[in-house]
Order: sequence, then C-alpha cells, then structure tokens
Amino acid sequence: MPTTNYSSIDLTNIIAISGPTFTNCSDIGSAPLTPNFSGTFNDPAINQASNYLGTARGEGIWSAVINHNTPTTIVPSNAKIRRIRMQMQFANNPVTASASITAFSTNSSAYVEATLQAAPEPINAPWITSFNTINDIDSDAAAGAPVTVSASINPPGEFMFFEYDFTTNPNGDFPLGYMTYADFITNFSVATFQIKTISEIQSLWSGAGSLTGNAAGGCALQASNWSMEVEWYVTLQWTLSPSTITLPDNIIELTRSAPIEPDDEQIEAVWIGDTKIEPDDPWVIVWTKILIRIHIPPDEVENGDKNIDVEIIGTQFSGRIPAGTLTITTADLSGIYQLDDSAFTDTLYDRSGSPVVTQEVAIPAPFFVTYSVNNNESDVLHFTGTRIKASGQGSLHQLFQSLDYIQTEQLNDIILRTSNNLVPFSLANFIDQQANVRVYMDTIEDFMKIDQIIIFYKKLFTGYPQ
Amino acid sequence: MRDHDSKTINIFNGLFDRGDRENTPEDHFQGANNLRHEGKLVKTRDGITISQDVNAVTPLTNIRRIYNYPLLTQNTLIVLSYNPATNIGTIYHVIDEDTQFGPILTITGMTDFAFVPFAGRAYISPFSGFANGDETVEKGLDNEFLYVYAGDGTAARKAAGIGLSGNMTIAVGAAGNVDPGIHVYGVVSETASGYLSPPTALETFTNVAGQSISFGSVPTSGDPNVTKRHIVASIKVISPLDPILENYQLFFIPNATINDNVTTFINNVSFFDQDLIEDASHLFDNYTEIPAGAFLTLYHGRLVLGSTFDDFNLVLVSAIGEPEAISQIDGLLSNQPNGFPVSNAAEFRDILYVMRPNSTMSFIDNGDEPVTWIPVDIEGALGTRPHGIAQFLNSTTQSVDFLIVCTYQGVSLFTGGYQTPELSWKIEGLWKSFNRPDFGKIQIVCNVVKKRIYIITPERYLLVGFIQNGLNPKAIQWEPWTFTQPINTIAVTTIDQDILGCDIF
Repeated sequence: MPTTNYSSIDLTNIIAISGPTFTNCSDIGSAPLTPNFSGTFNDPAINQASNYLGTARGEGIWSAVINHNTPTTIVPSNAKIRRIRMQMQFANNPVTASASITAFSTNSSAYVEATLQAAPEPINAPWITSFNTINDIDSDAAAGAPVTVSASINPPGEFMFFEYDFTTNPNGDFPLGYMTYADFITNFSVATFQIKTISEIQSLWSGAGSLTGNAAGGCALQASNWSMEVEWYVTLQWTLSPSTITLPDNIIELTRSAPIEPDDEQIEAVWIGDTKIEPDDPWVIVWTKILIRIHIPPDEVENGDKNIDVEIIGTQFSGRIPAGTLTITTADLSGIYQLDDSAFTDTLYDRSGSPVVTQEVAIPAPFFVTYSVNNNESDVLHFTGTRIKASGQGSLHQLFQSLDYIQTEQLNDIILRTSNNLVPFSLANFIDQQANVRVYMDTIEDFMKIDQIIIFYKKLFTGYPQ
Repeated sequence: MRDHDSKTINIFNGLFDRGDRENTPEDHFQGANNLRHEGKLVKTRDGITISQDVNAVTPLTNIRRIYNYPLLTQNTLIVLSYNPATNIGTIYHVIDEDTQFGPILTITGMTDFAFVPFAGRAYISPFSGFANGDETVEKGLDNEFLYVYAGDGTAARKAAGIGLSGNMTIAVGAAGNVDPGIHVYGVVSETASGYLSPPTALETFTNVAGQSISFGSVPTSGDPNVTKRHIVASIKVISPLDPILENYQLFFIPNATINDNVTTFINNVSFFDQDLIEDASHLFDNYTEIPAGAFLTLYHGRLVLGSTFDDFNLVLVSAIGEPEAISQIDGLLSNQPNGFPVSNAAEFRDILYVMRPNSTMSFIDNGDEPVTWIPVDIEGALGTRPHGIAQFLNSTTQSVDFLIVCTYQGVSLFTGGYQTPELSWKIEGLWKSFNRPDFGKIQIVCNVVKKRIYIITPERYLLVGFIQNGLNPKAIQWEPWTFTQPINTIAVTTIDQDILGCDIF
C-alpha cells in the first residue's frame, strides 16, 4: 500500500438499532438485521499528483433480545451457576462490508480496503470473561482511467460467543465462585445478544487532473443458531465412596441418609464413564433408596479419573448430574484362565511384585431378581416374608423391591450351611402393589445353591389413600 | 403364613430381557449375574483359576485370542498376546501349564488372527479391524500373509513359497529307456508341509533312444523347510520349439525325486512319455505368497481363506489336501459384492456357507475348480462377523446337525436357514443393547460335554447359555457371567476344559 500525505474524508454514520425482539428462541431461525450506511464525496477540484486518501466508515449495533423459559426443568432451583455461554452464528448470507471507489481522471489508480469488525456488546459486561471477535479485511486495487475498485468480505458460518465464568469471580461479585439460581433468574431473565459491527472503507488514489469519485459501503447481518448454555452444579445428597480404588478391588458405593418424601433424588441409573448401569444390570450388587453398590465394568477401568454421574428423578429436577470423580489405579490381571466348577473364588495373577504370584478375589456378587409378584387386580399387597430352600456357605442376602426400585426392604440374612435340613423363613413387612425379591451374596468364598423360593403375600387394600 | 397366599418359585430358567421387566415370567429372572444351572438348582457360577503355573513359566499377558490347537498326540493352545503400547501382536504355543513355546510369530498391527489346524500343523492368518465409514470391517493385514507353524516350537513361516533358482545341467546317462526327441525339464521343490513350488530351472534336452537321463547342478533351496526336489518333464516336443518353456505341460517323472535339500544330482533317470501322468503345470498358477485374510476354515479337505486387505470380497480355496496350493486363477469363489466384507465361512452338510455381517451364501463343490462353483444366496439380512460361528472342541465349527451363529438379530440355529425364533429370544433386549460396531469382539464356543454355550460379549463379559434342557429358544437358560477383568476370548480344550483369555484393561 503506498504511503504519502493524506487528506482524509471522513464519512461516519453510526447506526444503532435495538430489536427486533424475539419471543421464543426456537422460532428465531434467520435474523436479518440490515442497516446500511453510505457516503459520497465529490471533489472535482482535486488535482493530486500524489496519493489521496478517502475514508468512509460505518458502525452499527444490533440487539436481539430473546425470552427464555425459566428453566426449572433444566436447571434446578438449588443449582449453583458456574458458567454461562451465549453464542450465535452468522448465516450463509454473510456480514458484508463493501466499498467502491470510482475515480475519474487520467492516469489514476485506486486502492480500496474494506474492514469488518464484529464483536459482542453484551449486557452485564463487567462479568464477561471471554469473547471472540471477527475481523476481516479485504482489499482491491486497480489502475488506469476510469478506475473502479471494490472490496467485500464475507465471514459466513462463523460463530460469535461470549462467556461468563463465575468461578473466576469476575468484577469481585462472585466470591463463592458461582451465581445463585435466584440471581440467575433476575440477571438473565432474557437472553440478550448485542452485536456491534464496524465497516470501514479506505481508498487511496492518485493521478493528475480532475478527480471525482464516491465511496459507499454497507453492512448487513444475518444470524441464527442462537444458544445459551448454563453450567451449574448441585450439592447432591448422595456421597460417592471410595474416591480411589486399586484393582482388583472394583466396588463403589453411593449412600445417603433416608430421604424426606417427596424424594428429590431417586436414582434411576448410574453412569460410569460412558456405561449406563441400571438396577437389574449384572454390575449391581444392591440398589436401595439409601445405598447403591456396584462393580466397575471392566470396559470402564483405566488409570486415572473417571466421572461418575447419576440420573435422578425428583420434584424439582430430573436428569443427569455429576456425583463425583473416581480415581482408578489398574492392575495387570490379564492372562490365561480356566473355569473350575469346584472353586468358590476367582484366582487371579498378581503382578504387583516379582515374581508373579496369585491372589484370591470374590466372584462378583452373584444374584438373581425374581419376577414381580402381584395379584391380577394390582391391589396393594402385604408381603410378609420369604422361605428359601438353600444350601451353601456364607451369608445369603435378600431384598424386597418394588417396581423401579422405588421402595425396598432388606430382610435378615440367612447363614447357609452345606448340609441343611431347614428351609428358613425370613420375616418382612413390605407393602406395595408389586414386589420382587433380590437374592445375592457379596463376600469372598460365599456360594449358594437355591432350590426353591416362596414369597408370602396378602391383599391389603384395593388402592392407596387419595 | 396365616391368611397369606404364597408364590412358589422352584423352576429357574435364567435371565429374561424383552423390554419391560414387569413382563418377566414366573420361572425367569428379571436380573441375574454369575449363576449356573444344574438340574433344577441355581448356583454360584464356576470360579476361575490360573491356567499357567507361575512357578514354571512367566504367564502370558494381554491375551486377545486363544484357539484349541490339536496336535497329533494332545490338545494344546495357540495364543495371541497384543501389546497396545507397541501395537505388536505375538503368538505363542502353550503346551500345558508348565510349557510354552514362542514367540512363534510376531507381527505389527496383529490384533487378531484366524486359525485352522491341518494334519498337526497350524495355519495362521493375521488380521485386524479397520474403519470403513461408520462400520468396522475385519480383513487381513496389509502386506501380510498366511503362515504355517509345525507345532514343534520353531518359528512359523510364510505358507507356500517361490521356486528354486539356478540352472540344471542335463546329459545322457547310462543305458535306459526314454522316448527320443526334445523334452522340457524342470525342478519342483517340496516343503516339510507338503507344499509344491512352481516348476523352475526349465531346460530343454534331446533324449537319445536307449539312454537314460542324468541331471546335475540341480538347484537347492536356501529355505531349510524344503525337504525334497522333484524333476518334472514334458512329453516329446513337436517342432518348432516354443521359446516360452512354461507353456508346455509338465509332469512329475516317476522315481525322479531327490529326498533332501543338499544333493545336486540325480542320475540315470528312465521314463517313457506314457509314464508321465501326474500333472505339475497347475503349480505355475499358485500363489507363492498367500495374502492374509480374516477367516480360515476347511471344506472338503481344502483350506478356505477370505477377506484380504486389498479385496475384502475375496474368498480363496486351496486344492484338495493341499492347504498351501491356491490357484490365482481357479482358486477363487466368485460372489457379488454388497458393500460388506466376507467375514466367516463354515462347512455344514457338505455345503460351504460363506457369510458377511448381513448376508449368507452357499457354494457346493461340484468336483471342478472352485471358480466354477455357483453361489446361492441363502439370506439377505443375516450373517456374522469373524468368530461368530460356534466352535466346538477341535477348532472347527458345527456339530452334526446345526451351526450356532451370532447375528445382529441374535444367537441363531442355522440348519440351512436361520431358525426363528432365535436361541436368544428370551434375552433379545440384552442382545440388541450391544453396540453393533463392536460385534467383531463376539466369539462363541460350545462345550458339548458341559452342555453350555459361551459367548464373549462386546462389553467383554461372558454370556452363558445352559442347554441341559434342550437346545431351543424356550429351554435354553441364559446367564451373564462377569469378572474383575475383561474377557476377550474363550476356547474349549481337552474334551471339556474351558479356557478364558483376559486382556489388560
């Protein structure tokens, strides 16, 4: 670009537009916001032997205000807001800034440069912790008389975002590292996107003789894919333990105190990494309202941290939330093994030291869950106990379980013997419309042989009190 | 109990998973793990013990695949250990708990291998899974080949082989019987596994009536596995001589064999043209290096190999009784591509069934070359991946009356068509929950004595089908068996011994 003396012609047209206002995020689609600016210049008396600079500049600010539903089904009322991210995307009809200079003279040349800057102009600006801008510059040049040059820039498909990261305590307003839900509802009652664009055209031409011309430009904006993402957390009633495990130990527990009804954190499923575990899955040892004990599936075992999430159902919120992080230390248990029907444990290679030795571990909780007992009318039943014909070794555990494991009742353990003339009765006091029985063992060298199980029940009511 | 009714459950038929757990029948479980069935009893499953004596050998690690390998005198194991850190797969031969040979084969990228035993030897084909769009396809490794292992601890070698190089000298021998005139002569090598190389060192010689033929400077081989060399000849050449000597049909000369790889002469060979019966020309067309594939099986004494790296539709078939003799012209099975690789094959009731993950076709040996066998489409939606056809004791498939095949639909009995309902009907919900791209991890074996079907699931635990009450969808009892470590492979050896191969995490 040639550099010499300048006489600048400054055409500045600032446009501020607020709106249009959108009432429903999902209806936004493409949002055309198209102010234009233009300016002309005409200086027939110019007789420049050297470069002559003209500038046209336009600046526009658009706002899009979007209502959103109070997100109680997405963010619970006891949530602590960590971060918020607002984002939009420029549509394929791009933001454009163009310029054209027409100079009429002899021996003239011209250069034009178009510049676009687009940056967010968000509300709650002191809390903004990061954002991006889009800058594009295009230029064009030509020589000869008459001279016409133009330049335009097209940033289609680019995203623009800005973020609030409350964990960094922006502006000193968040010493706890989060925004409360109440403040979130107040300060972000609507989602407001403000975008400022600056379009500037500079032209430079030189030549002798009379010189006239004009500069014009425009700035149009189309945007879509508006999004607002909220990162939050809650303090769960459930506690994950242990926080670290070393193989071959691979059992984790989620525990809590007995909940106050209505239960806000009934767990439907546990996620270990990418594996979803539900109550009847093979990895489950026991699943009650206050205790969930499970094996880590081998495919999720790897050195390092593993995210443990739970899917909960409750009156305030239903969905998947983090329960904690588990640090796993693996062990090399690989090798060639063989099944042994006389063994009541699993004997594994132990390569923790040298030479290789062996170690005994429990067979991962053998269990079964019977079918669900009910009467044909689905009346409320009283389940008074079970009688199990069993032999073996160790403690045999039993659990009455309602549908979907909403209610459970642990029965007294049965101490098994290898030779047994008794078919013991286990007392219960379980009331529900349906119930099944989980029978399981969870200790090394315990084993069971089950021949029969009898479930005792009686119709109690035809329905629950209304 | 006073005033209380009772529900007695004394029939236990295993896991039931078909949608809503509320629909579980009285005699099934809506959840279960680590149980076995013996008669009416349900018990804690078998425990596992180590298979290698830690005091005698350093136990193998990172086990990816195990096959039962029957030698002439005992059952052994052939085992693949794969190190993900180095991407190297290594095969060992485990004789018993105290003895292992190897490594017998080490190949980069070998995450799996196909195997078939033949006359005490092991034929090994390295393969792996490759991304193909959203799918994973199993095919032989690039620039890799079929290997043969003698079972004696020596390293496996590439199957087949090139011919001998060099020039023979041919002269008139002592008094003998030959047809006079120009004849073409050459030499064929034979390996310890019986492979015959293409004829090489071709020369012409004019026989003299009444005089035998003596051969000198007979080429030897640098391959120590070559154990014999045969002299081959054409009948009398009709003038003019074709300068391309390979165009002449060559025959094995009776009694013209050097029974070693050292001697460079054989003298005083007599034969008449009418004695030349056994053709050797077909050896020109054979592969000297057989490309690796994703599956191996046997059919009518022929080796069948399929899904090579360069063409996953390719199925190669060897000559009868010669597993390394595969013609590049006649030893191919023609089939219509459908976008999926050929992935498995098995012989059943004298028919060769070749499968893709989503289809099944059949071929019948018509007594002619394999390229003339006509494919018949059996099933247009069901097939299986490698290891998806149940193996029985001797690493071959099928019992007498059926194949057990793991398809995307479920575990099916195949008796010429896929029977419905499938064997896994009761646990259809569980089967459909498996991730389809991981179906290549499925392996199925059947322990006939224990009356169990074992299936390695994509999630690397065991699914056991107890068939003590019958092999049908209603009587089979399904139980998942989980372990502390992931299970990659299973084999049945020595009648009814179940061997598991576990991987590092």
